Amino acid sequence: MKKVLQSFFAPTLGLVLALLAGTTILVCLGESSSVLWEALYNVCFTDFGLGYTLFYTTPYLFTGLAVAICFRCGLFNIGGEGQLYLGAISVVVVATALPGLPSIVAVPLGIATAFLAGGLWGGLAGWLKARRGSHEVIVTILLNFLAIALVNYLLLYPYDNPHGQNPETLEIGESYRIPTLHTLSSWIGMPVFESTPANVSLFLALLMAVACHFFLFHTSRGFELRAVGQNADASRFAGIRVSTQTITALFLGGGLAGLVGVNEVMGYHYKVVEGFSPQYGFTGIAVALLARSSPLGIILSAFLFGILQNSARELEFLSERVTKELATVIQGILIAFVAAQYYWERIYLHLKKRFQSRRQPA
Amino acid sequence: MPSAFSFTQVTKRFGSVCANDGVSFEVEAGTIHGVVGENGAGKSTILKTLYGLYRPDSGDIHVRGEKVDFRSPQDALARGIGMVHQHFMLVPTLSVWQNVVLGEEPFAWKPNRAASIAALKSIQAEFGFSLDLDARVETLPVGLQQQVEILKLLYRKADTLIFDEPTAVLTPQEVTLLIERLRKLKNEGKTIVFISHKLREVLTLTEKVTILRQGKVVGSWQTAELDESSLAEKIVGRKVQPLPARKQSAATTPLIEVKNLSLEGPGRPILQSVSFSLRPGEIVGVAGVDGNGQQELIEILAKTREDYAGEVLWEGKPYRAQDCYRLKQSGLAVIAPDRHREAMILDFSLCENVLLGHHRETKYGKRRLDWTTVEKSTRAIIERFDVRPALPQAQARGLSGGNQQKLVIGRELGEGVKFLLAAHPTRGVDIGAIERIHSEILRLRDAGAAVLLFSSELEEILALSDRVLVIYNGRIQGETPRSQATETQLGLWMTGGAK
Repeated sequence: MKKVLQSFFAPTLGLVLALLAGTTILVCLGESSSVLWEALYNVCFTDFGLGYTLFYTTPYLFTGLAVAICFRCGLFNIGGEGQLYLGAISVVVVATALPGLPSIVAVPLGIATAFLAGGLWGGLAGWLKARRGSHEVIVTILLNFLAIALVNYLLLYPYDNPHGQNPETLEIGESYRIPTLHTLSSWIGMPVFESTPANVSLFLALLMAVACHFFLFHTSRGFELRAVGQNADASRFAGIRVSTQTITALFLGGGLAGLVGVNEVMGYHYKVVEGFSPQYGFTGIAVALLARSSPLGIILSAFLFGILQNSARELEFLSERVTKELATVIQGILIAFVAAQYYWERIYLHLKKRFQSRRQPA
Repeated sequence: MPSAFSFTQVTKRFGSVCANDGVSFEVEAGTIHGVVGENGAGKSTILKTLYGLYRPDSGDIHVRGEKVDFRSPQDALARGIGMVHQHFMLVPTLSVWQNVVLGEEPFAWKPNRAASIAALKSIQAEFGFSLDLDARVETLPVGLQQQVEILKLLYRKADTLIFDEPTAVLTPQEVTLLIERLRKLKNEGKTIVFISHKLREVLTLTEKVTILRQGKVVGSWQTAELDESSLAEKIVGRKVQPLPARKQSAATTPLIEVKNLSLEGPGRPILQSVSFSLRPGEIVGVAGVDGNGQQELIEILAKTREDYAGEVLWEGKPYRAQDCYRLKQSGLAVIAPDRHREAMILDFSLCENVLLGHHRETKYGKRRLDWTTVEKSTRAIIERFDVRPALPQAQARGLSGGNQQKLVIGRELGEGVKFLLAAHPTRGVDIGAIERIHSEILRLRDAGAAVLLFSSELEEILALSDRVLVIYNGRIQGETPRSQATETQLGLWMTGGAK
């Protein structure tokens, strides 16, 4: 009971302080004090709002897992952004090359391609680290620039949509598209999330979270990966190849980030639009940190980040004074307060100590 | 004789662990007093409270009859109490005199070499030291670094000197020198407190002994009343069994052959054409001062490095061609030298640590892990080696060093071991557990395993080995059967003496 209380105290305190800080800023702007709460209510409890929240949750699940699985191996994967761009463009490449496939083949092929493209991009960083000793932080950051530049080239030239207003690719064929949650729920006669882009890749993301948990804690391969993350020397003495684990972790991490392409391309836009990701790859780091790299915990923290992302959009809509930029600022403040959980925990422990020493003076 | 200091009912807790429980004893001025006990008996803790590093939760400390309450080592030093720690507190890049005066410089605004050297010379003359005061500390051998530590205390006018396991890092020759030096300090009127778990040194050096067990004082005795077995018995609290008689191994074909092993380090060779062989049913001890190539030799034999020249053969097959994991399955077991860095993962649970290195074995499920079986094995090890606390899901970090080591030993000395590479198997382990570990290693040998034993304790090497190799500067400096080995000869080889 005490433990449960302790594990809930820090996130709750963070959230409350975050909301107070956000409200203060809005009041200073001359906005009513209730607008932030209204926005939060809308994104959590209305059909439309929740649909968008779940749509935003999905990429955070993928990128959160992408960072977490590398953390578990002692690696810092900052390359999620590049990996997810490559995952997205690869779906377009395959869909353009093989347009005639039936859905039953096309959808799994699209998913596998997105995973593989991101995975190879991440694995490249792993290989450079294992064989050449290049630090993965620097390599993954640099690979981000490369990947985004490459994707921009592809969508401007070889795959350019001549009829589009924006820099974007051609649309993928019908058979590559996956149903939205609205379509799915309509089939069983209980339509929800109307006109929101939430799609079935959410289930893929949840499945991945469970799969990562199983892999890390119930397989010998996952055990090797975690062992290397905790202590590479001891792993070597236990007969584990550190270089293999490094490559594996970054491959899997890259693949998971690549799956963001499934949500964005196969589930929503049906094409790659320039700059479609509001830094999902980087925010994934915060998602993983908040969940302490626990794959199941990431389900909760990704949902929280989905709420925050969506409430910024909602604020912009509700208030005339809150522009897109300001909404982003408020979102950033909320994230900072929530992610500072270690600090809240220290406060909790400090208070606990104070309280105990007062009860029984030494 | 007047009292140098005394403890009265001193209790010190760390969380739920009671390190000292109502400890009372007295040390007479001008004597050499031994404080002995198993690891975790609380001997370092009690003297650290005297030195101001810890403050007791309750109880009194008196120095020369006066009640004191030290808040820091500075307070203790002001009352003439100094401590030489097991791990030296020296700045390697500074010279001897700079290290000694550091923090107590004759002129505060600039270290004054002339004044410092003059002060130190008179101390050196008084106590018979002959250190080169301008030498850089990192160039000195460990024995001399220890003298620098002693000089630091004498410079601060300490008259009670506490030594925490001072011989753990020394060669036999250096130990002899230290013992002479301590006797001389005593004759000059200093009080010496000697914390140790090495029975023989305690018996030769001290006049009086206080024994601690599980945080409590067992009693104090005149050393003359004790011998090795009665002292051991009092420390452990029961009779210590002598090691059983051993059978001679019949095997003649070697299991492991090491041929012309060489390894280049940055700027100097680390191993230079090392050759030896190891038969089944034989324990070969490798003696040597730490840092003479043992670590690298262990790493090569444990298959964690490949960058060597020469060859290692396992039953005639080259080591290099085989996968580490295969070797483990065909009977390689390794007790890695550095427990925290190489032998275990502190943030893993006991279960996960037991699984480490065996995680692909069929009994644990091979691909999908069978945690129930892992926990069963962990419980078996916990029971067999008396690991405390007996919680398979607890983090290994929470265990004391001795218990962590017992867990590692339990994991490695499992079924089907053919070649045991044991590096410092009893480092930081108490006497009761040492007995257990030694008899397990001997049992393994009698069952036909080949054992290569690395240890910085000559006593351990002599007690277990059938044959002793001495490594010096990356070479095998000497080799002798156990029956003909003497500590003097081994000590000579360890410092590079003639073959």
